[in-house]
Amino acid sequence: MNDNADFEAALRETLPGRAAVEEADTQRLRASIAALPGRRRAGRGGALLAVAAGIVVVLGLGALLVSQLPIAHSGAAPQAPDPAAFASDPRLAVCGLTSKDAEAIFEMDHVRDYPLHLPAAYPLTGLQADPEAPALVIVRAGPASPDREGDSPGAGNHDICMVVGADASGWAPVTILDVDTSGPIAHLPEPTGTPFADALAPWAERCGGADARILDVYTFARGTDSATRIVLDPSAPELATDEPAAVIVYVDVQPFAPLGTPPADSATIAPREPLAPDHHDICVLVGADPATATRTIHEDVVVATVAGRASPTTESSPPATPGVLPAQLEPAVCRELRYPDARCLAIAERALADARLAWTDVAQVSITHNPQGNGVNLGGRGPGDTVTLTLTDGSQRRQDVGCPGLVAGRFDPACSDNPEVRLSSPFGDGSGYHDVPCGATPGGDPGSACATPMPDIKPSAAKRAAPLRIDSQDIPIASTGHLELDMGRATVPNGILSDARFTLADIHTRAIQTEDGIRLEVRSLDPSRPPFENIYEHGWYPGTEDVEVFLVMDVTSVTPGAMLQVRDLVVR
Amino acid sequence: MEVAVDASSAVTPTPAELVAAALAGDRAAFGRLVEPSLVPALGASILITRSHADGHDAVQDALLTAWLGLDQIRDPEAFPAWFRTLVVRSALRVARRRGDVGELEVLPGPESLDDGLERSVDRRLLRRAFDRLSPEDRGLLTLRYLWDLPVAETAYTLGIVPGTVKSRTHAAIGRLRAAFDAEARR
Repeated sequence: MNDNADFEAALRETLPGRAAVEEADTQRLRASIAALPGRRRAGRGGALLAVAAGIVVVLGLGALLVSQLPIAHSGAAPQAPDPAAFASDPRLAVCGLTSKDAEAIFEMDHVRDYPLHLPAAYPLTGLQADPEAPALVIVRAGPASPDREGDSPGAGNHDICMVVGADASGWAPVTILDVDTSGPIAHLPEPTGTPFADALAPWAERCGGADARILDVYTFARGTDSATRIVLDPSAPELATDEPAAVIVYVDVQPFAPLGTPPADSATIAPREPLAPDHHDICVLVGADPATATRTIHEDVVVATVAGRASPTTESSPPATPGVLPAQLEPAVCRELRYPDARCLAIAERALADARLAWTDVAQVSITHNPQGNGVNLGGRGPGDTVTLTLTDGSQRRQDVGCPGLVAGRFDPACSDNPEVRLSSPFGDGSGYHDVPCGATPGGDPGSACATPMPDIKPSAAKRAAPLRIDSQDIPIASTGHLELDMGRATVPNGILSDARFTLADIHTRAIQTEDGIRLEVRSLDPSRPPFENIYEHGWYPGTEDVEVFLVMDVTSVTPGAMLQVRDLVVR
Repeated sequence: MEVAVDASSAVTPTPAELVAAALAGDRAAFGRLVEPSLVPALGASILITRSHADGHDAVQDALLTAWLGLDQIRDPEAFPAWFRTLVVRSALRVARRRGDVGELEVLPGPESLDDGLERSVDRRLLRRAFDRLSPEDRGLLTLRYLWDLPVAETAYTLGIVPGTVKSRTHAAIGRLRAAFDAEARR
């Protein structure tokens, strides 16, 4: 391909295949359309009669959040339990009702969760109830509430009696008229699976759970420690505390009832616009126990990391040491580039290494994006950055620090805000353990020789095989240099390796830095056997083969107390 | 009260009728409104996010935004373009937030086995090179070379001026070439 015209033609030919869609995909989308929440109807904001004493008015209504609710991938709305299940619940009497008067009855852990249970009812203007209190919601079946003024509820709507309070002494009924009850109602959609490590899940659950589009979860031994990891603008004053705290950063807007005052005309509320890049709603929890921690939600906060960023799958890692940048590299340089300090430093160090200079040789370091980037901050993708080194003798040197694509760039601290540790194994890095060594496509060029197909694993060998499985193992790493960690032994049937992989509790860990990642090696205990690098080259053998499993790495730096947290290691 | 779209009628509802019905809460009408756009939307979203799952999520987000924000649309005839904008912006948001973590799916294209081996290799390299581009570049090239949108429509979809479309396209092609060359050297 010699010119752009060729490229453009090739793109037009290639992209449709790359964008191929299967009928099952479109069917899922059609199913999600059928499950869309009900649209609010103009003029039906829902009248309210609050009957309670000493209840705090809290729920502010500033913008429509229903647009941010995730659509359950399962499609259909869950069914409410049979109201008869609540027949003996004394709270019904608080509303003057029996279970036979109800079309549906369900519990809410907190009043503030009502947009998730009744998305079409949002916003309930003037709802007066303690948002943190639990509530029993009774959706009346037929006759209008005796509190009702005017006509019966509109088609598809119901009057509701909500009993708010945790114990009988505090139960208070709240009547809400003419509520659109379409949508999830009784049960929240099942989360598709929590992405969070067990230790972080309770914090995330308190702020909306797995479906709340949470981007990051930070936990701190003290709220004041948060300043060493993240910078919030505007700041969260409740973090100025010595109590434990957590900050949950949402991908975009938070999932609960929004803050602020309701507009005069609720029918014209527009969906809340997505936030600008680097802007997020956040949920701040202060307290040792996530279940009882004080919760505050802040909207539209600029969130920046000081050094690195914990992924939602990690435990809280030690706070970064302040002053990580040498004097020759001003923090303002990194702020302007919107790079974390660690990345900024990595770029500078790469430039120094390429120029064969040491920090003592330079008086100042500046970094700019490569001009070919159109001045748009692509986060360092593509051409990369240009580092200008002003030496102590006043002369200047320029070094380009490139990031050759995302495949390599994601492991490189100079190319990623949150680089991954490169993990490799006979199976896990696309090294081609099962690559057919003939031709470039499956089936190969008919003209070239191909490897003989491997025999199957024999049942007798399979019976005597013994895999190595390590669900979780934490290994202290205290030194730099070449390390080979003996993880244990396995017995492989007929010499056929079926699986060999592992991961880390935190694939973004900065506590242990290596030359080129961590490699899982499977070594036969029979020294005459070839290495386990390719199934065809290793070959098939009668009986079983004993192997020893190692994790191999060249450690370049390690923080005190660092642990290599190995997870889900399997060799079989 | 819902405005029923009479499915038995021999007359196909107009976009205006479908929008009106959807505004009144008729999901079936909304489904008919978006149906012609679903497949192209999903395909483009997959290209931009480099992931079937993320592409699907992005289109779902766009569907919800369109459903709830339908009263913002001034001209029902412009619904496809408006929806396309929502899809692209949703996919870009998802792609940006995924950052470096992405599936590098190497899906087989509809290549003819009669093609020369070298041409087949070129396409595979080109797909991998495309995946290495930034979300913004992928979005722009998807609009220009998958949907074949003219400059003006591309500018509208991305919220930029037409002149910027041309310069960014040129630069994106340049970056694609660089990525292609890098792939070829692997």
